[in-house]
Amino acid sequence: MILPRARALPITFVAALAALVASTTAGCGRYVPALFADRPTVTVVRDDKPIPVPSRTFFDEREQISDVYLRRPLFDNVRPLDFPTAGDVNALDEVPPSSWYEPEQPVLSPPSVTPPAPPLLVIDEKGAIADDALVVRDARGLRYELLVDPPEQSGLRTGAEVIGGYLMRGLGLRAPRSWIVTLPDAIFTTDSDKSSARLSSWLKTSAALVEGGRRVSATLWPGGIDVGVTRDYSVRHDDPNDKVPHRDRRTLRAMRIFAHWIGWNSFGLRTTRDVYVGKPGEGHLLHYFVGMSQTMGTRDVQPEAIYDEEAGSIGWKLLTLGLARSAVQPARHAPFPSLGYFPPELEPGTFDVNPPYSPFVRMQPADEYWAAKRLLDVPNDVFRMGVPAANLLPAAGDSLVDALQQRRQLLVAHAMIGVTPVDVTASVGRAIWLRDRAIAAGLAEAATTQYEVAFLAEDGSERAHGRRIKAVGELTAITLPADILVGLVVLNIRVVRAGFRWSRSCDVHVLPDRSSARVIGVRH
Amino acid sequence: MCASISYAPASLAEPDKDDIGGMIRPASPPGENGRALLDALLFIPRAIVQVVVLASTATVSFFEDQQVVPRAESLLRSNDGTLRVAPTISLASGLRPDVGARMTSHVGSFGSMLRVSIIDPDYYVTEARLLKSFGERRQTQVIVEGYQQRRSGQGFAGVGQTPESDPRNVFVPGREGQSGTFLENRQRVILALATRFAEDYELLLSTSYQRRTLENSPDTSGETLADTFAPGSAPGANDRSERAYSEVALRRDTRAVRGPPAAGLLLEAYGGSSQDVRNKYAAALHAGGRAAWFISVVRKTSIINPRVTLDVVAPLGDRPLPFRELAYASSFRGVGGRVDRVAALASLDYRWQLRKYVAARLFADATTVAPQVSELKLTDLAWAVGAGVDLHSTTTEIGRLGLAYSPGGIQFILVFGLSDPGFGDRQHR
Repeated sequence: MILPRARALPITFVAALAALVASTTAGCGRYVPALFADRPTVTVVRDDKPIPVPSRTFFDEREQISDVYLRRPLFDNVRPLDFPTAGDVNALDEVPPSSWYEPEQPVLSPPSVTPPAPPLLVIDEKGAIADDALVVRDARGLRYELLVDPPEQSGLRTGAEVIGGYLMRGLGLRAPRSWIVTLPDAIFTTDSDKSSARLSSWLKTSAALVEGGRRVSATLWPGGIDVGVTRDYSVRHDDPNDKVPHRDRRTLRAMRIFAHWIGWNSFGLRTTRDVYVGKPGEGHLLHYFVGMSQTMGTRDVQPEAIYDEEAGSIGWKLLTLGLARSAVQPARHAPFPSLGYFPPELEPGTFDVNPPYSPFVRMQPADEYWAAKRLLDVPNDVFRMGVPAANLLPAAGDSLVDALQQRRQLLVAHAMIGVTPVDVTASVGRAIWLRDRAIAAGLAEAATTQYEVAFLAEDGSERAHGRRIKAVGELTAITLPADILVGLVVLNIRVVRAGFRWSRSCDVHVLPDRSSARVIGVRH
Repeated sequence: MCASISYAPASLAEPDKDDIGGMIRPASPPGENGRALLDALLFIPRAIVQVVVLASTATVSFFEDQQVVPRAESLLRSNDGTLRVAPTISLASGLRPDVGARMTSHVGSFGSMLRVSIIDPDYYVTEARLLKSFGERRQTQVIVEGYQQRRSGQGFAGVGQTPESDPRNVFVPGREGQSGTFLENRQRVILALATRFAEDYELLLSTSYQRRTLENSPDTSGETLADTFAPGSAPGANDRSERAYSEVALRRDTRAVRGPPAAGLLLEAYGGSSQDVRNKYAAALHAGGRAAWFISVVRKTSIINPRVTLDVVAPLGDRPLPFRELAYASSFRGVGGRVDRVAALASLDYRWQLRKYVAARLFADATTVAPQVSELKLTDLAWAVGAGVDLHSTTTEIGRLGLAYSPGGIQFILVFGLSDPGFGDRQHR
């Protein structure tokens, strides 16, 4: 059984002022539901129209800091209005496949996508997946980026690079494919002084050795032109296909949950990449996540307790002149040398990154709910095949899978109390069938669940008396009253569990006729 | 004030065909109208931040107002291949605002910058810089700069720590202790070579040619230099001077990062000589240095920073030296700083991190000037105390907001864009 907790409210004086003004506008106190067009639901976004190769965007720390700390607070934090709902969701509150989201991608690599074929020509370029990655081109001309492990922690980074990619793809997001390979030093060739220097510098790096050479993760760079980082606020102005501001993309907002799940504390602008695929002038952009070697706590192992300089609020630090003792962060150990600090327990709703990432700031309960559904839908093959692909000790792999599954359960449970977690599965006659995802996930019981249903017109007025309907299982039907058989009806559904009424309802927009009902919109 | 929302049939208000959500109108929770009104009121502050502040910070990506050779790791974060036009803003109470625009480009190891700030025909700055970097781990930079400035309303109160009682100042009767105002017209070209030859060491070589003309400020009467000082008492007044200046400077900075509060030691020394191209004014030797110690207390990011700086200008021969070439404490953060052949400044800063990229600062400055080092005294010090908050990257300061109090008044400071030159180098003063 899960019950909602009080959600933290953004505390700004403007919000307080807003409440004051709102109180002066008495009479406007009725909720007015959204209004949807009666048209087919978008099931795929065609944002792959040919475009010229966009210019390369770079991450500049100074610009990013200015933007994050000077401009965005006025847009993101001092904001009387709620953040807009995500802009990349369809009428049914789902994210259709697009250049950002590919839910049906195969877990296993297609036969044509394989590890690098020797010899490997070193290229004098900086890696996209990590600053210390070695960039090579294999015998077929494909570009790979290679990473090694610390000497005493074989599998730490390379394993995370491989498994992280599997997890991201399992969520429907794009991540380059990686393999664990063993490479002897003789496999590398160079064609310039600069690439020779880069290779010798990389070979000097202390690395975990296995029989036959170095244990390396080889990440295949998606076939295309790297045009830089994906901005986290605005659209890319030189991509006509890019129409939804990135701050309002659910795929990016939901990364707050996904990054928490896989322990990606260093997530940010530099871990996103736009890749132009196709011939110049005929291609389009795909949006990738990179840098999975930093997931699953690989950078968080800490042999001894340290003072956490970042802890504490700005106000407290200002008041104490920064002289208050830093909080002590205890030592962080991993059960196996090949794993990072990745505990199975976490506190949902607390994850954030520094500097702030705009889509995270604007994440809404509906985005979190969608993320939770994606977490639930991760195919078991991702665990069954992805973890062994990292070539870790079986016990280490089991420990990792266990942590991932426990963390997922906690995150999903939290998301299910932020909204009324029902989806429309079908409409039969005048009955709308709902699926309660919390009951389906075993997080709530049908016996203690009821739904308060209000039947609203488009202006928020009541079209029929509301009802309280008992859940009969994960699927429950709501039948439209006989006296509202024409015209738009908004089913305002609010879940009640064990007598506790959820604060956020779900709207299902229905266009009935005398014998059937058609759902044209859903908002959580 | 309650706005009525009428129902528009879906067929009459179709959303854009590219709209994924198919929504004609979003939901409206109770109280939405009042909150929308408040949101509208935020338009002006948002627009100001959007237009003025944000873009100006882009300029710090490559250029600074002092010679600094970046550490290799700093280069990894540099932007590249971009051309930007960005506003700049520098406001300080008691001074005229400096608001303009700056265009920068940076392609690989080459950078260029053009800056224009025009307040009126007698108050403007134009500046161009070209920079070429060599090397990766150990950076070397060649910089060429051109600068044109015309500034009215400048002031000179005489030399010495207490000009009104300093016998070297001969005031026009009735103007004792007063300041004479002037307009300065300045053109400057700098060629510099700077190298980080070891992890913590930088060697800076530079030479410049500068033409400076002092005229009566057009918006003043009865307060000009000629109205305030007897002829010859303010060398360089209402005249043109052309000087060449060459300098070598050595800096050791052990701080791992220059932006956030960090412990370390900073030592810098310079020596140079200047010549009057027309042989009308004296040649001079210039020397000085600074020492600053950054000590962490309680936290690694809470730093106490005692600092001393000394600048010495020694004219050669009997000819006078234009008063604009004299030494002054350029890092002094109050009003009432003086000029002379020797300028000394002692500062104590306490700076602590509020959160990543944001730090607060308390500071105290005391400065004095004298004809010789041996004549520096602790009496009649000019001093200032203040506080502020700054925004910084790992490599440099981006913006600063602060207040400084000194007996001459309270000064409000708002700077976004290039970092404050502070001690900087003599070429940019």
